[in-house]
Order: sequence, then C-alpha cells, then structure tokens
Amino acid sequence: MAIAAAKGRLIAVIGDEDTCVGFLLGGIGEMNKNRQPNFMVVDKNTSISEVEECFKRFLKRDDIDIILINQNVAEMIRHVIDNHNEPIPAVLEIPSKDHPYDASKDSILRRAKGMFSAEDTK
Amino acid sequence: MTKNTSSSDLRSELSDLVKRRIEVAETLANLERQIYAFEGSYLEDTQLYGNIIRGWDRYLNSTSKLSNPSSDKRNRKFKENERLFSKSSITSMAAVSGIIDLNSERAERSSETESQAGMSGSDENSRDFLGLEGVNGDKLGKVSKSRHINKRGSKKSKLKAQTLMKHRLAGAQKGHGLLKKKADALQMRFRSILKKIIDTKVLMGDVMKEAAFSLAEAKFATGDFNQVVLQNVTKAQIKVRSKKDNVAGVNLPVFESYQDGSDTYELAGLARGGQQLGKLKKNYQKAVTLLVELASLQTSFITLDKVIKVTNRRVNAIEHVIIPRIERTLAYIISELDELEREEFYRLKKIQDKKRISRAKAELEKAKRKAEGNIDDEAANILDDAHDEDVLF
Repeated sequence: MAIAAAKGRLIAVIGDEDTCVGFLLGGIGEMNKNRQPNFMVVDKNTSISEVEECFKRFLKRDDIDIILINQNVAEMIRHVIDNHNEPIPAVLEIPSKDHPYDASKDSILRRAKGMFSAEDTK
Repeated sequence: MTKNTSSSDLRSELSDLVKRRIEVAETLANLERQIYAFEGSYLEDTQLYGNIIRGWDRYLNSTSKLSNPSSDKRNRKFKENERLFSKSSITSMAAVSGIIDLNSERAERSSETESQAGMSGSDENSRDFLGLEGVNGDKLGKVSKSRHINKRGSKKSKLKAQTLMKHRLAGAQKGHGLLKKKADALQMRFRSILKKIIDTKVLMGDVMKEAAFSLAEAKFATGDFNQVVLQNVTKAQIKVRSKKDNVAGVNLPVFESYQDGSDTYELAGLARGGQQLGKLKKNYQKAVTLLVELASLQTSFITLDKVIKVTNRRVNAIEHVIIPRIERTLAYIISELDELEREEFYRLKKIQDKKRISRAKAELEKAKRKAEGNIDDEAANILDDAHDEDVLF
C-alpha cells in the first residue's frame, strides 16, 4: 500500500450520491489505513463547512492528485477553490445529473477569461 | 697583566688611527675645495669657447665674432650639474658649503622620487647638490608628469569602464531578446492548451451525461445498489501517475492512469442487471480516463500561467529598468571622457600659447641685442653642422 501511494495517486470525488456511486463503480474508490475514504457524498443536508472541511482534507493528503467535484457543489465552496493555485492536486469540475456543464462557472476557465475569443457554450 | 697591556696597546693604536683619519679627511676636504674652485673657474672661462662638458662646437663659431665682456657675464652661468669633476667624489660637497646640508633633507625626500641620481653613484651628498637648483625644476617636472600619468590612468580606466558597460548593455539586450522569445513560445503553448481544455471539457460534459444515463438504466434494472457500493470500498482499481514533460525549459506535470489490482465489484450485478452494470462500469472508466487527461491539461495550464507571469515580469524589468540604467551610465561615461579630452585640448592650447609668447620675447631680446651690434648667440645646432669635430679624450 505504501508503494502504491508512492507511485500511484488517487482520484477523489466530492459530489452527489449518483456521481460517487458511478465513479466508485469505475474503480477509483479507496479506504486508506485510517478508514478514510477518498470520496464524499454531498446531499441537500450537507453544510458548506463540512464540504469545505472535506475539500481541505483532500488537498492536504499527498496521495490524492485529482479531485473531481460536482459543479453545484463547487459553487458552494467557490472561494476555497479559487484560492487554490497549485497545479497539484488538480481540481476538475464535472456536471451532475441535474446540473449540466456550465463553462462560465468553471474557475479554471475564468482565470483565462481574457484569452479565448470565440468560445461556444452549450 | 698581559691582557691589560694588550688592551691599552690596542686603545693607543685606536686613538692613533682615529687621529690619522681626521688628518686625512681634512686633506681630502681641502683638495676637494680646490677642485671645486678650479672647476668653477674653468667652466666659467670656457663658456665661450666650449669645454669638456659642453663640447667644443662653440669654439668654431665664436672665433669669427667679437666678444663683449658684458655678454660674457651672462653666458658664464653654467649649470651645477656640469660640475662633473666635483660630483665624482662622494665627500666633496659636504666640505664645500654648509647651506647644502640644510637642504639635504629636502633633497633626500625628493631623492626617492628621482630615478636619475646624477653622474655619481647612489649617495646622498651628491644628490644634495643635485637636489637644489637645476634639478628642482626637473623634480617639479617629474611630479607634474606623474600627475599627468595618473590622469591618463583614470582615463584608461574610464575607457575600460566604457567597454565594460557596452558589453553589459549588449548582454542585457541579448537576454531581453531571448526571454521575450521564451515568453512568446510559452504563450503559444498556453493558448493551445487552453483550446484543448475547452474542447475536452465540452466532450467531458457529453461523456458524463451518457454515464449518468447508463447509471439510471442500471438502477432501473438492478435496483438500488448505492449503499452496497458505498460500503464495499476497499482498494482503488484505477490510479494515476505523474510524469514531467519539458516544454521550453518548463517542467509540466502529466498524468496517466493505470490499472492496479482487480475489480472490486466484479461480482456485483451477478443477480440481475449484470450487463447494464458492466456497461455502466465501462462508461465510467471511459469518463475517468478522459478526466485524467483533462486534469493533466489543467495542471500544465496553471503551471504555464505562473511561468509566463514570471518571465514577463523579467522581460519588463530588463526593458524598463536594467537597460535604461546601463544606457544612462554609458552616456555619463562618454560625457566624462569627452570632458577629459576637452581639458587636455585646452591645456595643450594654453601651453602652446605660453610657449609662443616666451619665444616671441626671446626673439625680441635677441633682436635688441643684435641691434646693439653684439655677438650672435645662436645656440649650437647639432643638426646643422656637417663637420662635427671629434671629441678626443
């Protein structure tokens, strides 16, 4: 497990139940030694601070290189995501079942706002 | 006893020797005084005709013209350093006059700077004699020359500084050009990555939609398996590795996914809906690979952004701070050099003027003397005379 952590990094998921289940079936889920999962299910009862806490924890963990987050959840903790400038871990915003992908809300693309002239948003 | 007698003998011997030494020294001093006196009269008398020191050219010229006692007096001034005979002895001048001793200290100090110590060897007395009248002028001349050399030294160092500055300016400009090229290359890469990101994100949106749809299908077929899945998490099947990719000197991280271990959910859906579940799993795996690619693009994007900002900052710093500073220093150095040149030029002109004036005065005096019908006192011109009489010793 230690070797795996050294070489291979994990993909974390923060999102609604369906997204998490889907990705776990894809095979990214793992429980580490302290029984800590690399995913978090967010439903309508979850508070913002909880999500924030979880996100910060994932950032601190050195075996997580990619964090997938639903766009609606990302909206909740937009300020934390915007403060995160390091290239690793990479924070990717994915659409959920009820919220299709909105490029204007993506924090990465917002950084390059002045750059692209013709950008088609679906 | 014998020791006492021998010591007393020695003592008396010593006193005898000392007495003899004093006598000899007195004789020597007398002789030197006489030599000095005779030398003075010899030099004075033979000014007209030429002597062993000055040469005998005058002898040939002067026989044709008349002599006048008043002009003789003027010409009888001879330089002190022509006293060759006196100066050949180290003890001579101490005997002659006490005035010279007073100035010996001054002469000793100047003797350090003087390289030429006259005809005799390296001794202070003769230098005392030298140090005063005739050579004082030389000493001053030497001092001024050394100052002149120092000034030229600073000019040389200023020229060196100018070339140094020129090199620095060239270096700064070259660095500026190179950095600009690097910034441009990075910017191009940046734009291409951005375009790819946008495309991939749009694609990802589609893939996610499809995956979610297949999830709904599987749920419909199998029933609710959410809790089962969430509880049975043990080890990740797909993991990512990061590699470093070098672009224009920048290390960009690139992710690649790889499979590590077997599928935890292999037996899931065995009851019913296995095909749907399989399809679902495949869809999500496809989504994961796409997302990993997207993540790589995103990290390169962020890294490049930082590097481009730093490079641009450096380019601007060179362009607006360093190059103007060097240029200003260079301009200052050039102006200083120009000023030095102007000073030299002015000094030369002044000296020429003064020389001209003094020459005019001398001409005037000569003309006056000629008018009074005197001997011509043109200086012996070595170059003119074809018949140089051999100086026989």
